[in-house]
Amino acid sequence: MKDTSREIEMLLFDAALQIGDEPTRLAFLDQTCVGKPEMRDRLDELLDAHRQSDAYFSGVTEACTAVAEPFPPTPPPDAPESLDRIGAYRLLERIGEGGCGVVYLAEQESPVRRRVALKVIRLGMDTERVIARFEIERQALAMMDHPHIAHVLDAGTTPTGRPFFAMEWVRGRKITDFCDEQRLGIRQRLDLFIEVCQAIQHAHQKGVIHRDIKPSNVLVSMQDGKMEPKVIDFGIAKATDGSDLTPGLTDVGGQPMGTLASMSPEQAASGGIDVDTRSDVYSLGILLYELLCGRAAFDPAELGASGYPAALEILLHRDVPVPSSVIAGLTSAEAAALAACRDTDAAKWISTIRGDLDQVVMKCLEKDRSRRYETVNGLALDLARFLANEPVLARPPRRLYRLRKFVDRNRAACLSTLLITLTVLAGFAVSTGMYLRENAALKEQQRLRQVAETARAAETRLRQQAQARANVSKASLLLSQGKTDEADTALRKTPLDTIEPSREATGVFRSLGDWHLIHHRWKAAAECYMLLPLANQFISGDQISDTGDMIRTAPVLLLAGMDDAYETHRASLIQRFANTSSTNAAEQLVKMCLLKPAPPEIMGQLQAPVAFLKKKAATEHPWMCILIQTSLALHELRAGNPADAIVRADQALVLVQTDPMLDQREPPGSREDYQAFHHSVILMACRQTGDATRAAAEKEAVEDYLRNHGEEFTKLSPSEDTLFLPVVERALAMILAREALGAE
Amino acid sequence: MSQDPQTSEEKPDSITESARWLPEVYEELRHLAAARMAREADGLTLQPTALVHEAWIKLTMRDDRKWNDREHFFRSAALAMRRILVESARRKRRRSSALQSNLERDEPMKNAAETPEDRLLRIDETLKKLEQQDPESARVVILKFFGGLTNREVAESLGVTERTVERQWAYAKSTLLTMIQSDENS
Repeated sequence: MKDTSREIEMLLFDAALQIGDEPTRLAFLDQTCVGKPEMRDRLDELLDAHRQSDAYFSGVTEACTAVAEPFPPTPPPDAPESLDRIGAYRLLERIGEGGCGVVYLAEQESPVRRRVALKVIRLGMDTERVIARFEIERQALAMMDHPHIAHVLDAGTTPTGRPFFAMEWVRGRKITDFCDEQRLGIRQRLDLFIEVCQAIQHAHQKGVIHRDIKPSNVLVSMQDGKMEPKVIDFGIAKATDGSDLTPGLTDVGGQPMGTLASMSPEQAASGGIDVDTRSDVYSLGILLYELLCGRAAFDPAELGASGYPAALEILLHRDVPVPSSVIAGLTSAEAAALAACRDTDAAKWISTIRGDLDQVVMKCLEKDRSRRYETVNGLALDLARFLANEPVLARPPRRLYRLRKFVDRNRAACLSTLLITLTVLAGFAVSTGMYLRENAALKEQQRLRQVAETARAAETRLRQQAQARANVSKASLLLSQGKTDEADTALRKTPLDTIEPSREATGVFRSLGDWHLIHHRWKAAAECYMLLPLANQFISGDQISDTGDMIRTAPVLLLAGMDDAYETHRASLIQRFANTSSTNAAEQLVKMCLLKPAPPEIMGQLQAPVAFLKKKAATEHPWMCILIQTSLALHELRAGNPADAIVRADQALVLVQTDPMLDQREPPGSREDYQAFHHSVILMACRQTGDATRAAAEKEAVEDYLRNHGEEFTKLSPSEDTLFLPVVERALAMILAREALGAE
Repeated sequence: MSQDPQTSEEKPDSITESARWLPEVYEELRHLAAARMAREADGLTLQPTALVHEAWIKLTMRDDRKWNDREHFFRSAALAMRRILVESARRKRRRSSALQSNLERDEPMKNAAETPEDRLLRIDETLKKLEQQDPESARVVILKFFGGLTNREVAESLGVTERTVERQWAYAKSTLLTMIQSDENS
């Protein structure tokens, strides 16, 4: 009983804390604790203690370890550094002042003589912690090696106890200014931006998140007539976030609010704690927004004037207007001026941005990070698609999504309604439990435990999903580096079914499935492939046949001996594609459904695609003709028309023998696979027609094939990532050959 | 829920298990603390976080195989920090009470302003009670308060989400404070 009541107490306490405004919270407490004054007292007591607890607990351990004086000599925040040197650095010139400190140009004298930018952190940021954090980060920072990343070289303390960072000295202009001054067109801006993305992606691969991407942290210079972007300040945001974000933000005259304007909602809301690579994706989106339409997504001046809570509210809940609509809202003079900076005129400018680029930017700026690009690479690829005039992945939101946005916008109202409803129920359960304690306590306790367990299960599930998402990203990254086994290991740590469908997840499943397939781990391959239909809900029906996903699953299921799963898979294929108008999809559907003999019901459902294929057979190009004849031959065999099957298979054999594409296949062997497929079909057909002579000859051909190629799977080199097709072709031949020989 | 990696029985063990490494971590931390006190007589404070991180870096460099497990290290470091802090607070209080006059000595300093040492010892005392009643909350207090770890580090150490840590820490702090307040009043 004690544990359960404590758990419920904790749930209610937490729920109450989540409610921001006092009246709603009181209403919540009133509702929850009806007839339970002692619980109400306890919650009031806890909430009261909560208000004092930060003050009570913070600073105690530090004060206890202070040696001489209780307080460190904090430097006055704006005291000018009158020094001409700090440590090994000789200060040359004060070159700037940022939100968190002053930047000097300095000369390092040992161990090498070079110019560096020295950033001295302002405020009473606790030096020890900043330096300790920097030390922790240092290894990661040292691993970064990218032409577009400025290195952070060193960190230390000034004589007055302020932390400083020494950075590679970069001459350059803020990226937004640079683009305007050079009158870069939209495409040139995108090229430049993609280079910035590559730098950030590099850092992400080394496990470093920037956390403070903004125009003034991306400097561009011209070197030998080429634009050279450099991202600066890596790792500094992390090192300095040890001190609480909020007071610093309100203290310094609005300056850091500029940083806030580029900050992802989750980073701003969590004080920088709950941040992953998608937070950088968001900040890049803010940068791209300004590069494209010349206006900041959130006006730093407005945020600065709002004060922290109001600014946070804006970041969390205000929808940013799409870039093209911002341009449309400009006065014609403004539009002409900004368009001129983009080497275009206002009309062309807006038509370039509208549509795809709008969507790409808005996908970066999703408040819910799971709806953003999973990786910076994904963003860069989508922009590359735009530049190549290919459709982008960012799509306009659907209606369900709009409904969710409504709930998000009115979160306070929706949440408190939900909470009150839920906790009235929970509260009722609790009070009932108390009344019945004497006589029916046991039963009630179990019920309460279930309530708590359900809550816990939901949380576990969410946690697993978050973990799964992280693992998918990791796996995808490892795959892109060719480390397939590591990707597989990463993914194995999570139950596959907790992975939410996404394009990235689809790619990972497909690659891992192929990898297992090439290594003949049929069952593991099947497990990966079976998740594809779920993930493929993002692709419209007929496009799936182009991905090859339709021909991956069925053969693998049969090779793995998972016949029941094959039947289910077959049924879902028919349901989805029986009315397809794509030759590709129809051909694949018929073949995949008939790898095993099929009941009359299925033969009936395949009538339409078969008729469609027969009509198409004459008009398609030669390679497609082979595929169609293969499917049709198999169909005639399964439909009990052995003579027709033999005719089609023979035709197919001629085509296979002469098709030039098969000559070029790497590795070779696909021709033999297709031949074996048709020899097997003919063998089974000849048994039905009673042609023993031909049957004997065909049998020999099939046995020959199995002898020569049966064990040859492993010789197919696993490094080739397009290898899945040859392996599937071989798998199909094996399945038919085994059936033909086994049926004797 | 059998596949849930952190079933309820597992967590308490993970911290008791960490106690096995305690002596070594403790030695290193104490060594660091002493060195720091000697060097920085100008009055800079020692921060648990900084000490813990520094100790970790040192021990990792000394024997990189054993201390690869950063989460594990942080758990034992938090236990060690608790001991160091409590010891040093006791020492300090003894010193300052020795300075007091004989008259005052036996009188508990009820009305005098509470020093950080008093507060730390009181937290430690009450934490012992909380460990009996609600070990889960007590564990978070050890890691956060004495170990000076960030939410992320605690989350990694316990194998839960940061959100869970945030929730548990809020609850644990408040619970502990209510216990302290009710002791004061009684």
